[in-house]
Amino acid sequence: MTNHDKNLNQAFDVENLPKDLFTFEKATDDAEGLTTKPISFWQDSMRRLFKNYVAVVSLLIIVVLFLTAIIAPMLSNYTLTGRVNQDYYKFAQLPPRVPVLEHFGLFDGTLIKEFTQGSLDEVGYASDEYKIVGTFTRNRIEYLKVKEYTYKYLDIEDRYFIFGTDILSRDIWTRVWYGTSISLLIGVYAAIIDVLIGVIYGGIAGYFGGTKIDDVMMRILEVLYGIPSIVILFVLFMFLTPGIVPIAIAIALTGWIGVARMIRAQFLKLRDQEFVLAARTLGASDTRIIMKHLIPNVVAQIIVMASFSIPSAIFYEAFLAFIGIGLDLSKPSLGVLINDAISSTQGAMTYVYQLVLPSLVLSTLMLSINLLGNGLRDALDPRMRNN
Amino acid sequence: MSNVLLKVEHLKQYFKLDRKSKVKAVDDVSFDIYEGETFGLVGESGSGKTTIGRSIIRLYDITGGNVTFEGKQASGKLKKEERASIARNMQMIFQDPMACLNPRMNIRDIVAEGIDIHKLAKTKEERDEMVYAILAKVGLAREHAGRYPHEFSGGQRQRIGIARALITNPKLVICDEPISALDVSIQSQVVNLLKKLQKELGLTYLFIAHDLSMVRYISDRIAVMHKGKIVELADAEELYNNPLHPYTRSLMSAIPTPDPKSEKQRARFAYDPSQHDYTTDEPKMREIRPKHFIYCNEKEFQAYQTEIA
Repeated sequence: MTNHDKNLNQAFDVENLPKDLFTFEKATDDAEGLTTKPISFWQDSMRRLFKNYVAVVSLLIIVVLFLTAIIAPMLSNYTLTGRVNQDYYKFAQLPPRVPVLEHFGLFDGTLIKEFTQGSLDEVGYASDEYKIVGTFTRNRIEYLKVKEYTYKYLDIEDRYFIFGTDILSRDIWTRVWYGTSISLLIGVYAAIIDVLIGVIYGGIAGYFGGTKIDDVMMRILEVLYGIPSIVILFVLFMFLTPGIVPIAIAIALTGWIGVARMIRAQFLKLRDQEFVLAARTLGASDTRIIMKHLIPNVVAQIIVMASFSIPSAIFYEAFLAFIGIGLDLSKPSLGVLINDAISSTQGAMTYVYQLVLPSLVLSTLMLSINLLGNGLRDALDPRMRNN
Repeated sequence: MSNVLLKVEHLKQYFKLDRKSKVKAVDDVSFDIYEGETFGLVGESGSGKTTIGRSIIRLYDITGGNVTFEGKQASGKLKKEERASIARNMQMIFQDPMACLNPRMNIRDIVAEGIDIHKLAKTKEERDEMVYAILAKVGLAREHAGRYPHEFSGGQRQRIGIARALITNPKLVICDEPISALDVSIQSQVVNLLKKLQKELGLTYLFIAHDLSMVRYISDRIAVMHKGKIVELADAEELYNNPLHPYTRSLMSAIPTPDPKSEKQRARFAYDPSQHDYTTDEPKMREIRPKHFIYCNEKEFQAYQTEIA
C-alpha cells in the first residue's frame, strides 16, 4: 500500500462509512413529461430558414421577380415582338424613362451622345433639348459629350418607356419580363429533369451498391461525364428545333450526373443504417424501404441540389444564347435579350441600358436563388455547412 | 428442458473482400436456443457476434449451414409466406439508438411499421391502439407517439426500438448489443425492461454483448466467441465459476469489479491463440460436463478433464 492510499484510508474510513449518509434517489415520473409541442423535421428546418435574413430577403426578391415576370407582360400595352408605334424610326432606341424617378435624374429619358462641333450643329437641337456635359479628344479630334433629352427632342414627352425601346422599336420592359419568365421556365425544367433522372439513376445504383449493376451504371456515368457537353449541344441543335424544352433537355443532359452521384452516395450510406436493417427484419419490401426510408432522408439534399441547379441552368442557357446556340427568337430568354443588346448598342456606351437592364435582372435572379439555396442547405442539412 | 426454438447448425458466413481473399466472419457455428431462455453471446469486437445475429434473421445470405426456427427451415430460399412468418416471429433490437430510428418518421409510424407491413390492423384506430399499448409496455406515454426520434434521449430511443420489435408479437428477439451505446444508469433500466418483458410476453432472447457482467446478469446460457467460432458454451453460472478455455479465462480476467481493493489485486492476462496445436488433431465442440461445451482437440480435452477432476 502506498503512502497516498494510507492517507486516503485515514481520511475516509472506507470500511465503516455511516450508512445513513447515502439515500436512494428515486426517478420521478414527470421526468419524462412533455413540455413542448412535437416538431417535425420540416417545421424545424423552416424555422431555421426564416431565421436566416439573407435567405428570407432572397426569397422575397425571387417572389417579386417571379410575380413581375408573370404580371408585367400581361399589363403591358406593348407586345413581345410588335413595334410600339407605326413610326418606328422615331420610336427606336429610346432611353428608359420612369415617372417620378425622372425628376431625380434617374431614368429621365436622356442619352449621352458624342458629337464633333460640326455634327452637333447639323442635328439642330433646340437649346433646351441638349446639354454639353464634357469634352474629350480622340485621334486628335475634339469631341463633345452631349446629354440629349430624347423624349423632348422627338416631341413625345407624354410617353413613358420604363426600360426604353430597342433598335426595332420594341418595348424592353415587356421583353425583359417575358424573358425572365422564359429563363425561369428553362431553369425549373432543367432542374426537374436533373433531379428526376439523377434520383432514379443514382437511387438504383446506390441501392444495389457494390454489385455489378452499380459498377456498370457508374462506368456509363463516367463516360458521359467525360464528353464535353458543349460538343453534344452543338450536335444536338443541328437536329432540334430551338425551344424551351429542347434547351432544358440539352442543359440537363450533363446536369443530372452530379445529382445521380450525390443520391448514390447518400443511398449507399443510408442503406446500411440500422433503421433500414430494422425495416428489413420486419419484412419490408425493397419498394417500401426506398419510398419510406431512403427517399425521405434525401429529400432535403434533393431540394438543395435543385435550388443550385436552377441558377446554373439559367446561366448556362444565357451563355448558350450569347454564343448563339439554341436561340429561339420568338421566345427570347434573358440570354437572347443580352445577345440582341450587344449588336444594337453598336459598341457605344450610349445604348448600354439595353445590355445592363436584362443583365441586372439575370444577375439579381441568379444571386437570389443561389443565396436562397445556401439558406436552404443550412436549414435542411446543418452538417453540410462550411463545405 | 423446454423445446428448442432456434437450431443453428454449422452456420458459415463468409464475406468476399476481393476475388482472392474472404473473411470468415462466422465459421461453422452450431447451437440451440430453448424456448423462454436468454442465450448470451459474448466475444471481442470482430468475433462475429453481430454477424451471427444478422445471419439468423436473414439480413445476410448465409454461406453454409442450416437455421431451423420452430422446427421449420429458416435459411436459404423460402416462400413469401414463410419469409413473412419468420419476419413476424423473429425480431431484432439494434445497437445504436441514434441510428436505429428513421429521423423522418414519427414514433407512431416507426412503431407501427410491423403492423403496416404485415397488415395486422384493420382500421387506423386499431393501429393506434396497438401502438399505444406497446408504448405503455415499454414505459412511454401515448403523447410520445406524435414525436420525432431527435426529441428523445438514448434510453427512450432504445425503448422505442424495443417497442418496434415487439409490435408483431415475436417469439425470438435478437438483441444486438442493445445496451452498449447507453450510459450505465440507463443500461440497467433497459436490461430490467427486457427482463420484465420476457416474463410478461414469454420471449426468448439471443443477447449479444461484450459487457460480461451484464451478460451474466441477464443470460441463462452463454456462448463465448472468438474469431468466428464458439470456443465455450455453458450455463451462465457454470461458465463464470469454471471457465476452462484460455480465451474465456482471459475474458473473465478483464471484468472490472466495483471494489477498489480486489480490483487492485486483479491480474489480467492475454489470450495467445498459438498455445493450441491443431495441426495433427482437429478440434471440435466437446461436452466436458453436462451442458458445458468446449472447443478443443482430444489432447486438450484430456487436460481439461484432469483440471476439473
